[in-house]
Amino acid sequence: MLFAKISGSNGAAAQHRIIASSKKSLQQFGFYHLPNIQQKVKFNPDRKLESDQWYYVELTTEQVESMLSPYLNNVSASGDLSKTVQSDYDVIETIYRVDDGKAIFTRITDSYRIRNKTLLKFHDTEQVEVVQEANSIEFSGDVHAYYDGAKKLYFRNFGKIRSMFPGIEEFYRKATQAEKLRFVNNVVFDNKGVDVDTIGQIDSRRIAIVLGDASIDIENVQKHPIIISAANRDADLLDLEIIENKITLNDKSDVTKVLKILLSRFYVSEITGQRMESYASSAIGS
Amino acid sequence: MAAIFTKILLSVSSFSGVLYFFVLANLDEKVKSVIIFGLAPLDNFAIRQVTYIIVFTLFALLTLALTRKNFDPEDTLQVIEIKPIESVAVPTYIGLFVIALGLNSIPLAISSVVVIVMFLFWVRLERIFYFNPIWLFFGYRFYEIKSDKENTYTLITKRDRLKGKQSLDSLRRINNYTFLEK
Repeated sequence: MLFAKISGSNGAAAQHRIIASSKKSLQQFGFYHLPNIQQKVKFNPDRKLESDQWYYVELTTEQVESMLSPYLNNVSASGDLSKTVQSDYDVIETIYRVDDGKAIFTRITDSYRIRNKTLLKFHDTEQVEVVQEANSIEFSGDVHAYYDGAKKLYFRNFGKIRSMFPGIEEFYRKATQAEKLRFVNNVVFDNKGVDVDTIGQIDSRRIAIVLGDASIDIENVQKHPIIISAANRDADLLDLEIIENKITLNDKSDVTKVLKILLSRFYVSEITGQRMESYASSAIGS
Repeated sequence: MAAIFTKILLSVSSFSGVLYFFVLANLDEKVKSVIIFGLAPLDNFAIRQVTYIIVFTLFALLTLALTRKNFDPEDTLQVIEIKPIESVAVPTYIGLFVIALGLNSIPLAISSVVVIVMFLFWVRLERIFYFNPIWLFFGYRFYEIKSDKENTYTLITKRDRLKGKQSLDSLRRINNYTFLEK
Protein backbone atom coordinates (compact mmCIF):
# COMPACT_ATOMS: atom_id res chain seq x y z
CA MET A 1 0.00 0.00 0.00
CA LEU A 2 1.15 3.51 -0.74
CA PHE A 3 0.66 6.23 1.82
CA ALA A 4 1.49 9.87 2.47
CA LYS A 5 2.36 11.46 5.75
CA ILE A 6 1.16 15.01 6.05
CA SER A 7 2.28 17.59 8.56
CA GLY A 8 -0.27 18.51 11.20
CA SER A 9 -1.53 22.07 11.12
CA ASN A 10 -1.21 24.39 14.11
CA GLY A 11 0.97 22.02 16.06
CA ALA A 12 -1.37 19.06 15.59
CA ALA A 13 0.15 15.63 15.17
CA ALA A 14 1.11 14.47 11.70
CA GLN A 15 -1.52 12.48 9.85
CA HIS A 16 -1.35 9.74 7.28
CA ARG A 17 -3.32 9.38 4.06
CA ILE A 18 -3.81 6.63 1.50
CA ILE A 19 -2.43 7.27 -1.97
CA ALA A 20 -3.03 3.84 -3.46
CA SER A 21 -4.15 0.59 -1.92
CA SER A 22 -5.78 -1.57 -4.57
CA LYS A 23 -3.72 -3.80 -6.85
CA LYS A 24 -5.01 -1.86 -9.82
CA SER A 25 -3.99 1.55 -8.47
CA LEU A 26 -0.64 0.22 -7.22
CA GLN A 27 0.25 -1.02 -10.69
CA GLN A 28 1.05 2.51 -11.80
CA PHE A 29 3.60 2.76 -8.96
CA GLY A 30 5.62 -0.20 -10.19
CA PHE A 31 8.65 2.10 -10.48
CA TYR A 32 8.56 2.72 -6.72
CA HIS A 33 10.04 -0.46 -5.30
CA LEU A 34 12.49 -1.80 -2.72
CA PRO A 35 16.08 -0.76 -3.44
CA ASN A 36 18.64 -3.37 -4.35
CA ILE A 37 21.22 -2.78 -1.63
CA GLN A 38 24.55 -4.43 -2.38
CA GLN A 39 26.88 -2.68 0.05
CA LYS A 40 25.78 -2.05 3.62
CA VAL A 41 27.75 0.28 5.86
CA LYS A 42 27.01 0.78 9.52
CA PHE A 43 26.07 4.42 9.96
CA ASN A 44 29.09 6.63 10.42
CA PRO A 45 28.51 10.25 9.45
CA ASP A 46 32.22 10.77 8.83
CA ARG A 47 32.29 8.10 6.22
CA LYS A 48 31.46 9.03 2.66
CA LEU A 49 29.43 6.47 0.77
CA GLU A 50 30.24 5.00 -2.60
CA SER A 51 27.43 5.13 -5.12
CA ASP A 52 26.34 1.56 -4.37
CA GLN A 53 26.59 1.83 -0.60
CA TRP A 54 23.85 2.47 1.95
CA TYR A 55 24.17 3.29 5.62
CA TYR A 56 22.16 1.21 8.04
CA VAL A 57 21.24 1.50 11.69
CA GLU A 58 20.10 -1.38 13.84
CA LEU A 59 16.99 -0.54 15.78
CA THR A 60 15.76 -1.88 19.07
CA THR A 61 12.19 -3.12 19.40
CA GLU A 62 11.33 0.14 21.16
CA GLN A 63 12.87 2.19 18.36
CA VAL A 64 10.93 0.23 15.75
CA GLU A 65 7.79 0.90 17.77
CA SER A 66 8.40 4.64 18.07
CA MET A 67 9.96 5.37 14.69
CA LEU A 68 8.33 2.93 12.28
CA SER A 69 5.07 1.71 13.76
CA PRO A 70 3.26 4.96 12.88
CA TYR A 71 3.99 4.01 9.27
CA LEU A 72 3.81 0.22 9.34
CA ASN A 73 0.61 -0.07 11.38
CA ASN A 74 -1.41 1.74 8.75
CA VAL A 75 -1.51 -1.40 6.65
CA SER A 76 -3.67 -3.15 9.22
CA ALA A 77 -5.84 -0.07 9.83
CA SER A 78 -6.10 1.64 6.47
CA GLY A 79 -9.79 2.23 7.08
CA ASP A 80 -8.77 4.79 9.67
CA LEU A 81 -7.07 6.86 6.99
CA SER A 82 -8.62 9.16 4.46
CA LYS A 83 -7.50 9.20 0.86
CA THR A 84 -5.27 12.02 -0.28
CA VAL A 85 -7.10 15.05 -1.59
CA GLN A 86 -5.99 18.15 -3.43
CA SER A 87 -5.52 20.20 -0.27
CA ASP A 88 -2.92 17.67 0.95
CA TYR A 89 -0.59 18.68 -1.86
CA ASP A 90 1.04 21.44 0.14
CA VAL A 91 1.50 19.49 3.37
CA ILE A 92 2.68 16.06 2.22
CA GLU A 93 6.07 15.52 3.79
CA THR A 94 6.66 11.84 3.14
CA ILE A 95 5.43 9.32 0.60
CA TYR A 96 5.94 5.72 1.62
CA ARG A 97 5.09 2.22 0.58
CA VAL A 98 4.61 -0.72 2.93
CA ASP A 99 4.65 -4.33 1.72
CA ASP A 100 4.98 -7.41 3.93
CA GLY A 101 6.43 -5.50 6.88
CA LYS A 102 9.04 -3.78 4.70
CA ALA A 103 8.78 -0.13 3.83
CA ILE A 104 10.35 2.45 1.57
CA PHE A 105 10.20 6.16 2.22
CA THR A 106 10.63 9.28 0.13
CA ARG A 107 10.82 12.66 1.77
CA ILE A 108 8.90 15.35 -0.07
CA THR A 109 10.35 18.82 0.25
CA ASP A 110 9.24 22.02 -1.44
CA SER A 111 11.66 21.38 -4.26
CA TYR A 112 9.46 18.45 -5.27
CA ARG A 113 6.33 20.58 -5.50
CA ILE A 114 5.34 22.00 -8.85
CA ARG A 115 3.27 25.13 -8.59
CA ASN A 116 1.61 26.48 -11.73
CA LYS A 117 4.32 25.60 -14.17
CA THR A 118 3.98 26.06 -17.89
CA LEU A 119 5.66 23.27 -19.81
CA LEU A 120 6.30 22.75 -23.49
CA LYS A 121 5.46 19.27 -24.65
CA PHE A 122 7.03 18.12 -27.91
CA HIS A 123 5.51 15.68 -30.39
CA ASP A 124 7.00 14.18 -33.52
CA THR A 125 4.14 15.04 -35.80
CA GLU A 126 2.38 17.89 -34.10
CA GLN A 127 3.21 21.38 -33.03
CA VAL A 128 4.58 22.02 -29.61
CA GLU A 129 1.86 21.80 -27.01
CA VAL A 130 1.69 24.11 -24.01
CA VAL A 131 0.85 22.18 -20.88
CA GLN A 132 -0.09 23.81 -17.58
CA GLU A 133 0.93 21.87 -14.48
CA ALA A 134 -0.66 23.08 -11.28
CA ASN A 135 -0.15 21.71 -7.79
CA SER A 136 1.68 18.53 -8.59
CA ILE A 137 4.43 16.63 -6.84
CA GLU A 138 7.42 15.48 -8.78
CA PHE A 139 7.79 11.84 -7.85
CA SER A 140 10.45 9.82 -9.55
CA GLY A 141 10.42 6.99 -7.04
CA ASP A 142 13.74 7.85 -5.37
CA VAL A 143 13.97 5.95 -2.11
CA HIS A 144 15.47 7.91 0.78
CA ALA A 145 15.01 5.26 3.44
CA TYR A 146 14.27 1.57 3.49
CA TYR A 147 13.15 -0.56 6.41
CA ASP A 148 13.85 -4.25 5.86
CA GLY A 149 11.30 -5.57 8.34
CA ALA A 150 14.12 -7.03 10.44
CA LYS A 151 14.99 -4.00 12.58
CA LYS A 152 17.43 -2.44 10.12
CA LEU A 153 16.82 0.95 8.60
CA TYR A 154 18.81 1.84 5.50
CA PHE A 155 19.46 5.30 4.10
CA ARG A 156 22.07 7.29 2.23
CA ASN A 157 21.58 10.79 3.61
CA PHE A 158 20.92 11.20 7.31
CA GLY A 159 19.84 14.82 6.93
CA LYS A 160 17.09 13.78 4.53
CA ILE A 161 15.55 11.17 6.77
CA ARG A 162 16.08 12.81 10.16
CA SER A 163 12.63 14.44 10.24
CA MET A 164 10.87 11.26 9.14
CA PHE A 165 11.89 9.15 12.13
CA PRO A 166 11.64 10.92 15.49
CA GLY A 167 14.36 9.65 17.80
CA ILE A 168 16.80 8.69 15.08
CA GLU A 169 19.03 11.57 16.24
CA GLU A 170 20.21 9.10 18.83
CA PHE A 171 22.38 7.62 16.09
CA TYR A 172 23.87 11.04 15.44
CA ARG A 173 24.43 11.90 19.05
CA LYS A 174 26.61 14.79 20.12
CA ALA A 175 28.37 14.85 23.45
CA THR A 176 26.68 16.78 26.21
CA GLN A 177 28.51 19.51 28.11
CA ALA A 178 29.22 17.06 30.94
CA GLU A 179 30.58 14.48 28.52
CA LYS A 180 32.86 17.04 26.89
CA LEU A 181 34.21 18.01 30.31
CA ARG A 182 34.64 14.34 31.22
CA PHE A 183 36.58 13.83 28.01
CA VAL A 184 39.01 16.78 28.25
CA ASN A 185 39.61 16.07 31.93
CA ASN A 186 40.51 12.43 31.34
CA VAL A 187 43.80 11.56 33.05
CA VAL A 188 45.45 10.77 29.73
CA PHE A 189 45.28 14.49 28.97
CA ASP A 190 46.83 17.50 30.63
CA ASN A 191 44.04 20.00 30.20
CA LYS A 192 45.46 23.52 30.12
CA GLY A 193 42.04 25.07 30.19
CA VAL A 194 40.22 24.09 27.02
CA ASP A 195 36.89 25.91 26.87
CA VAL A 196 34.45 23.11 26.03
CA ASP A 197 31.97 25.67 24.69
CA THR A 198 34.34 26.26 21.80
CA ILE A 199 34.32 22.59 20.75
CA GLY A 200 32.40 22.39 17.48
CA GLN A 201 29.59 20.08 16.46
CA ILE A 202 31.80 17.62 14.58
CA ASP A 203 34.15 17.18 17.51
CA SER A 204 31.20 16.98 19.90
CA ARG A 205 29.93 14.05 17.90
CA ARG A 206 33.37 12.50 17.83
CA ILE A 207 33.60 12.79 21.61
CA ALA A 208 30.25 11.00 21.91
CA ILE A 209 31.55 8.25 19.62
CA VAL A 210 34.81 7.89 21.56
CA LEU A 211 33.09 7.80 24.93
CA GLY A 212 30.56 5.27 23.66
CA ASP A 213 33.05 2.98 21.96
CA ALA A 214 34.01 0.11 24.23
CA SER A 215 36.88 -0.85 21.94
CA ILE A 216 38.54 2.55 22.49
CA ASP A 217 37.80 2.35 26.22
CA ILE A 218 39.39 5.71 27.03
CA GLU A 219 38.34 5.54 30.69
CA ASN A 220 40.50 2.47 31.14
CA VAL A 221 43.98 3.63 32.29
CA GLN A 222 45.49 0.40 31.01
CA LYS A 223 44.64 1.62 27.51
CA HIS A 224 46.47 4.91 28.04
CA PRO A 225 49.97 3.68 27.09
CA ILE A 226 48.54 2.56 23.71
CA ILE A 227 46.94 5.97 23.22
CA ILE A 228 50.16 7.77 24.19
CA SER A 229 52.14 5.53 21.86
CA ALA A 230 49.80 6.32 18.96
CA ALA A 231 50.00 10.03 19.77
CA ASN A 232 53.79 9.93 20.02
CA ARG A 233 54.04 8.55 16.49
CA ASP A 234 52.34 11.59 15.01
CA ALA A 235 53.04 14.25 17.66
CA ASP A 236 55.76 16.04 15.66
CA LEU A 237 53.64 16.32 12.52
CA LEU A 238 50.57 17.35 14.46
CA ASP A 239 52.42 19.76 16.72
CA LEU A 240 51.10 17.94 19.75
CA GLU A 241 52.83 18.12 23.15
CA ILE A 242 53.24 14.98 25.21
CA ILE A 243 54.76 15.55 28.61
CA GLU A 244 55.10 12.87 31.27
CA ASN A 245 52.81 10.48 29.40
CA LYS A 246 50.02 13.02 29.15
CA ILE A 247 48.84 14.72 26.01
CA THR A 248 48.64 18.46 26.50
CA LEU A 249 45.37 20.06 25.48
CA ASN A 250 45.96 23.77 24.98
CA ASP A 251 42.90 24.57 22.89
CA LYS A 252 40.14 23.06 20.76
CA SER A 253 42.53 22.26 17.89
CA ASP A 254 44.39 19.87 20.20
CA VAL A 255 41.07 18.25 21.02
CA THR A 256 40.47 17.71 17.30
CA LYS A 257 43.91 16.12 16.92
CA VAL A 258 43.53 13.69 19.82
CA LEU A 259 40.06 12.75 18.63
CA LYS A 260 41.48 11.87 15.23
CA ILE A 261 44.17 9.79 16.89
CA LEU A 262 41.57 7.99 19.02
CA LEU A 263 39.43 7.35 15.92
CA SER A 264 42.43 5.91 14.04
CA ARG A 265 42.49 8.59 11.38
CA PHE A 266 46.28 8.57 11.14
CA TYR A 267 48.16 5.66 9.70
CA VAL A 268 51.34 4.75 7.87
CA SER A 269 50.97 3.67 4.28
CA GLU A 270 52.60 0.30 3.77
CA ILE A 271 53.01 1.12 0.10
CA THR A 272 54.72 4.49 0.35
CA GLY A 273 55.82 4.49 3.96
CA GLN A 274 54.25 7.93 4.33
CA ARG A 275 52.21 8.98 7.32
CA MET A 276 48.66 9.50 6.13
CA GLU A 277 45.39 10.97 7.36
CA SER A 278 42.00 9.61 6.38
CA TYR A 279 38.76 11.54 6.47
CA ALA A 280 36.92 8.57 7.88
CA SER A 281 37.74 5.16 9.15
CA SER A 282 35.90 2.02 10.03
CA ALA A 283 36.78 -1.58 10.71
CA ILE A 284 36.73 -3.64 7.53
CA GLY A 285 33.42 -5.42 7.14
CA SER A 286 31.55 -3.16 9.52
CA MET B 1 -15.47 8.26 -12.62
CA ALA B 2 -17.08 4.85 -12.15
CA ALA B 3 -16.75 5.30 -8.40
CA ILE B 4 -18.55 8.67 -8.50
CA PHE B 5 -21.33 7.21 -10.69
CA THR B 6 -21.69 4.29 -8.30
CA LYS B 7 -21.92 6.66 -5.32
CA ILE B 8 -24.74 8.58 -6.99
CA LEU B 9 -26.64 5.34 -7.69
CA LEU B 10 -26.04 4.23 -4.10
CA SER B 11 -27.63 7.45 -2.90
CA VAL B 12 -30.63 7.02 -5.19
CA SER B 13 -31.02 3.43 -4.08
CA SER B 14 -30.89 4.23 -0.39
CA PHE B 15 -33.45 6.97 -1.04
CA SER B 16 -35.69 4.65 -3.02
CA GLY B 17 -37.92 3.89 -0.03
CA VAL B 18 -38.83 7.58 0.13
CA LEU B 19 -39.32 7.60 -3.64
CA TYR B 20 -41.63 4.60 -3.36
CA PHE B 21 -43.88 6.31 -0.84
CA PHE B 22 -43.72 9.55 -2.81
CA VAL B 23 -44.86 7.75 -5.96
CA LEU B 24 -47.51 5.86 -3.99
CA ALA B 25 -48.94 9.05 -2.56
CA ASN B 26 -48.50 11.43 -5.48
CA LEU B 27 -48.03 9.63 -8.77
CA ASP B 28 -49.75 6.30 -8.42
CA GLU B 29 -52.82 7.40 -10.35
CA LYS B 30 -50.66 8.58 -13.26
CA VAL B 31 -48.74 5.30 -13.32
CA LYS B 32 -51.97 3.42 -13.94
CA SER B 33 -51.85 4.33 -17.61
CA VAL B 34 -48.27 3.22 -18.12
CA ILE B 35 -47.96 0.11 -20.24
CA ILE B 36 -45.03 -2.16 -19.52
CA PHE B 37 -43.49 -4.23 -22.31
CA GLY B 38 -46.58 -3.68 -24.45
CA LEU B 39 -48.66 -5.72 -22.02
CA ALA B 40 -51.65 -4.68 -19.99
CA PRO B 41 -51.61 -1.27 -18.28
CA LEU B 42 -50.70 -1.28 -14.61
CA ASP B 43 -54.25 -0.63 -13.53
CA ASN B 44 -54.22 -3.25 -10.80
CA PHE B 45 -53.08 -1.68 -7.51
CA ALA B 46 -51.40 -4.82 -6.20
CA ILE B 47 -49.52 -5.44 -9.46
CA ARG B 48 -48.34 -1.83 -9.47
CA GLN B 49 -46.99 -2.10 -5.95
CA VAL B 50 -45.27 -5.40 -6.71
CA THR B 51 -43.78 -3.79 -9.83
CA TYR B 52 -42.48 -0.81 -7.84
CA ILE B 53 -40.93 -3.10 -5.28
CA ILE B 54 -39.33 -5.30 -7.94
CA VAL B 55 -37.89 -2.24 -9.71
CA PHE B 56 -36.43 -0.77 -6.51
CA THR B 57 -35.15 -4.17 -5.40
CA LEU B 58 -33.44 -4.82 -8.74
CA PHE B 59 -31.99 -1.32 -8.57
CA ALA B 60 -30.63 -2.03 -5.07
CA LEU B 61 -29.09 -5.27 -6.35
CA LEU B 62 -27.54 -3.34 -9.22
CA THR B 63 -25.97 -0.80 -6.85
CA LEU B 64 -24.64 -3.64 -4.73
CA ALA B 65 -23.08 -5.23 -7.80
CA LEU B 66 -21.60 -1.91 -8.90
CA THR B 67 -20.17 -1.34 -5.42
CA ARG B 68 -18.43 -4.70 -5.60
CA LYS B 69 -17.15 -3.92 -9.06
CA ASN B 70 -15.94 -0.36 -8.51
CA PHE B 71 -14.74 -0.36 -4.89
CA ASP B 72 -11.87 -2.75 -4.27
CA PRO B 73 -11.78 -4.73 -1.01
CA GLU B 74 -8.56 -3.04 0.05
CA ASP B 75 -9.10 -1.50 3.48
CA THR B 76 -8.43 -2.88 6.92
CA LEU B 77 -9.48 -1.91 10.44
CA GLN B 78 -8.68 -2.91 13.99
CA VAL B 79 -12.03 -2.89 15.74
CA ILE B 80 -12.40 -2.49 19.50
CA GLU B 81 -16.17 -1.96 19.73
CA ILE B 82 -19.07 -3.07 17.59
CA LYS B 83 -22.84 -2.69 17.82
CA PRO B 84 -25.81 -3.02 15.43
CA ILE B 85 -27.36 0.25 14.28
CA GLU B 86 -30.49 -0.80 12.43
CA SER B 87 -32.55 0.21 15.44
CA VAL B 88 -31.20 3.77 15.11
CA ALA B 89 -31.27 4.12 11.32
CA VAL B 90 -34.64 2.50 10.53
CA PRO B 91 -36.74 5.00 12.57
CA THR B 92 -35.05 7.82 10.62
CA TYR B 93 -36.22 6.17 7.43
CA ILE B 94 -39.73 5.67 8.73
CA GLY B 95 -39.81 9.42 9.48
CA LEU B 96 -38.84 10.14 5.88
CA PHE B 97 -41.49 7.71 4.59
CA VAL B 98 -44.14 9.52 6.61
CA ILE B 99 -43.00 12.87 5.17
CA ALA B 100 -43.14 11.42 1.64
CA LEU B 101 -46.64 10.06 2.22
CA GLY B 102 -47.79 13.41 3.60
CA LEU B 103 -46.74 15.27 0.48
CA ASN B 104 -49.94 14.34 -1.34
CA SER B 105 -51.71 17.27 0.25
CA ILE B 106 -49.62 19.84 -1.63
CA PRO B 107 -49.32 20.42 -5.38
CA LEU B 108 -47.14 17.91 -7.24
CA ALA B 109 -44.63 20.55 -8.40
CA ILE B 110 -44.01 21.74 -4.85
CA SER B 111 -43.88 18.25 -3.40
CA SER B 112 -41.40 17.27 -6.13
CA VAL B 113 -39.18 20.19 -5.10
CA VAL B 114 -39.44 19.06 -1.48
CA VAL B 115 -38.36 15.52 -2.44
CA ILE B 116 -35.46 16.84 -4.53
CA VAL B 117 -34.27 19.03 -1.65
CA MET B 118 -34.58 16.07 0.72
CA PHE B 119 -32.55 14.00 -1.71
CA LEU B 120 -29.82 16.64 -1.95
CA PHE B 121 -29.59 16.69 1.85
CA TRP B 122 -29.52 12.92 1.72
CA VAL B 123 -26.58 12.95 -0.68
CA ARG B 124 -24.69 15.32 1.62
CA LEU B 125 -25.44 13.12 4.61
CA GLU B 126 -24.17 10.09 2.74
CA ARG B 127 -20.70 11.53 2.57
CA ILE B 128 -20.37 10.34 6.15
CA PHE B 129 -23.09 7.73 6.58
CA TYR B 130 -24.62 5.18 4.25
CA PHE B 131 -27.68 3.11 5.02
CA ASN B 132 -29.83 1.23 2.56
CA PRO B 133 -32.87 -0.46 4.11
CA ILE B 134 -33.40 -2.65 1.03
CA TRP B 135 -30.03 -4.28 1.66
CA LEU B 136 -31.45 -5.56 4.95
CA PHE B 137 -33.65 -7.88 2.87
CA PHE B 138 -30.54 -9.25 1.14
CA GLY B 139 -29.20 -10.35 4.53
CA TYR B 140 -26.91 -7.41 5.23
CA ARG B 141 -26.40 -6.08 8.74
CA PHE B 142 -25.37 -2.56 9.67
CA TYR B 143 -22.98 -2.08 12.57
CA GLU B 144 -21.40 0.90 14.24
CA ILE B 145 -17.76 0.05 14.86
CA LYS B 146 -15.05 1.87 16.75
CA SER B 147 -11.43 1.45 15.64
CA ASP B 148 -8.43 1.26 17.95
CA LYS B 149 -7.76 4.87 16.98
CA GLU B 150 -11.11 5.85 18.48
CA ASN B 151 -12.73 6.57 15.12
CA THR B 152 -16.31 5.46 14.51
CA TYR B 153 -17.55 3.94 11.26
CA THR B 154 -20.50 2.11 9.76
CA LEU B 155 -19.79 -1.47 8.73
CA ILE B 156 -22.12 -3.24 6.29
CA THR B 157 -21.64 -6.98 6.35
CA LYS B 158 -23.50 -10.23 5.83
CA ARG B 159 -22.03 -11.52 9.06
CA ASP B 160 -24.56 -11.82 11.84
CA ARG B 161 -24.00 -11.46 15.58
CA LEU B 162 -20.70 -9.67 15.14
CA LYS B 163 -19.20 -8.90 18.56
CA GLY B 164 -15.96 -8.03 20.30
CA LYS B 165 -12.51 -6.88 19.24
CA GLN B 166 -11.39 -8.06 15.85
CA SER B 167 -9.37 -7.29 12.77
CA LEU B 168 -11.32 -6.59 9.63
CA ASP B 169 -9.86 -6.76 6.18
CA SER B 170 -11.12 -6.79 2.60
CA LEU B 171 -13.29 -3.77 3.28
CA ARG B 172 -14.76 -1.74 0.43
CA ARG B 173 -14.79 1.98 1.19
CA ILE B 174 -18.17 3.46 0.27
CA ASN B 175 -17.15 6.72 1.89
CA ASN B 176 -14.58 7.65 4.51
CA TYR B 177 -16.96 6.52 7.27
CA THR B 178 -18.76 3.54 5.71
CA PHE B 179 -17.29 0.21 4.69
CA LEU B 180 -18.84 -2.81 3.00
CA GLU B 181 -17.25 -6.11 3.97
CA LYS B 182 -16.22 -8.23 0.96
